[in-house]
Amino acid sequence: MVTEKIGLEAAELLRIFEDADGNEVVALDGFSLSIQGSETVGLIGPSGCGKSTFLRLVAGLDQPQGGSLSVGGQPITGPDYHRGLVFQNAALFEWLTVWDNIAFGLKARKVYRQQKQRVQELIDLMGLTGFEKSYPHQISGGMASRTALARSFIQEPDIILLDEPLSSLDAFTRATIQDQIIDMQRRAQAIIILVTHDIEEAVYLCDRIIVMSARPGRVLGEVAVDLPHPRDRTEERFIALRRAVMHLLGNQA
Amino acid sequence: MGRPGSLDLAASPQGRRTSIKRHEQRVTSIRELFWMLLPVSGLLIALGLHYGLPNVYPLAYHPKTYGPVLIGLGAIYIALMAAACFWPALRRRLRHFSGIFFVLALTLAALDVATLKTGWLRLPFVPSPDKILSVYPDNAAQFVENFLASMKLLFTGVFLGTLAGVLSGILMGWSRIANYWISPVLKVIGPVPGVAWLPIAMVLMPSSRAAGLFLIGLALWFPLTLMISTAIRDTDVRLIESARVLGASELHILTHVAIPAAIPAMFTGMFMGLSASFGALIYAEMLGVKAGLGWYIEWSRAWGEYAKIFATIGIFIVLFFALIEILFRIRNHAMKWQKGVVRW
Repeated sequence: MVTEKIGLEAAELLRIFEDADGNEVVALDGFSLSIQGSETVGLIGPSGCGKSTFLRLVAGLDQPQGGSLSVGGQPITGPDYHRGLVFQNAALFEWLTVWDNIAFGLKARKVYRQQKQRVQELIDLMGLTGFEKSYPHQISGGMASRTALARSFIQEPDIILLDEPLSSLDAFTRATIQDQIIDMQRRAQAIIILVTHDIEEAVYLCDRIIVMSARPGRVLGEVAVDLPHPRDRTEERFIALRRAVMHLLGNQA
Repeated sequence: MGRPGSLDLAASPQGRRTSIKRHEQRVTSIRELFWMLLPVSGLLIALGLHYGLPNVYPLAYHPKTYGPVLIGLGAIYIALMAAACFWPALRRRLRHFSGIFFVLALTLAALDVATLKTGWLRLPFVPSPDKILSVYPDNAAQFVENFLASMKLLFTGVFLGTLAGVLSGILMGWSRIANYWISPVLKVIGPVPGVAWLPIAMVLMPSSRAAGLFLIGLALWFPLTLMISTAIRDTDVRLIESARVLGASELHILTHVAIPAAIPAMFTGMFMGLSASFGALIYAEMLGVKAGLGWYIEWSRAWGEYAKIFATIGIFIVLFFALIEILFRIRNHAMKWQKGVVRW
């Protein structure tokens, strides 16, 4: 696959919300991050540290009040199918089958007829074969997550934003899907930004882990994961990296 | 769901339940037979009382319809029982309704005894079952004519009301400007029962038929608009954002996310509106439109022919039951994607 290396540049991002009582809540303040090439970057930090806010800004669903945010040198002005987003609980279209959920983006962009065979490819890759005609309420949580991932990956995005996509799943299912994400990433050569609470998941999947502080969200530190895939979760180096992340998180408590 | 060989996991416990049911079906027999024969015994009691007791009220009344109808019902039931031997689903249903059928037969017998056989309940207000049933063959032409007139008015009104309700519901749900201008109309006119407008509608509309259409349409328009617009506005924001990120235009999101998400609410609105529209139909016909079953009720009342009123109500029962049932079937088909659809 020939892909231009697309970089993401976030500089001094500021995003302030107003809560129900009219008080200001600073979600992000002076947040900067630079991602080059097809990296998998993990964002980890306590609840309310602005991780999800950052994903929404990159997705173009929200605008920052200060700072700059650009992809490939172009500022982000709104949503674009080149930047995919997968929500925590899959957020599938309940009235569409697994097949039609995955095909949604192709149909919305009117390229379904030309690229129909790719739906089956993605279904096979994600291990959803045989469930094409099932509705979301008929499949397990793991399959729903895989459908949501396939729905995003089929668009061949430059950036995929994963907002705790596996947090509601059991450990075994999660491990399987983590390997599928690594596989998909290798094929797609995309930037993946993964928001997670699970340190092990971050070390297993990511090339780089950004540890963030609680409100307002700032970068506390960074841990580079220089282990080759497939990674061994019980290996000493893996555990040392987990400890390093934990240490950064602990420092601010 | 529950198709043999289907792969869906969520359906499997249900599949197991039906197989247990099927097992029960095989082992029960005598108790089941007793329950299934219960309606037959009810009909026999009714027949025995009808042919065994003399007809005393009114004098010189010769019943002709009630007896044959009882025999016909019995024949239909026995035919169903025979068919049920080879059709377990039908057997379950017959078994389920047998108690109700039994009590129904006894109620008919009681009415027969209280009127024709003793005169405890007096004419013209409470006619015997034979007199009510005889209305149909004696006035068949009138019934057909008025039935068709009612159907034409009802379906035209339901069609127009649904069209208006769906359009304004979608418009209000999606556009803030439309919501600003339509919602006061909805809030002021909607809660007033449509029938209150009838005298004014009769004067302002070009014909009494048009006034009837307006009333029936209004009965549907209000709940539909309210339910659809609320549902569209309450569409899960994550679904809309997912669609947006997948490259869907605003129009595509409306037609492929917001409207499908509002379909359950649309059916709820249809049920509410349809019930209200039946009332509007009868009221409009009784007071304005000089045709239809509602008018026939009013005309029979003026002549003191209460048997005809009972007979017309009988038609309404069958008709409205069938219409609601059809709507339920359509909904269950349209919403097969939803878990645990409510049945009635």
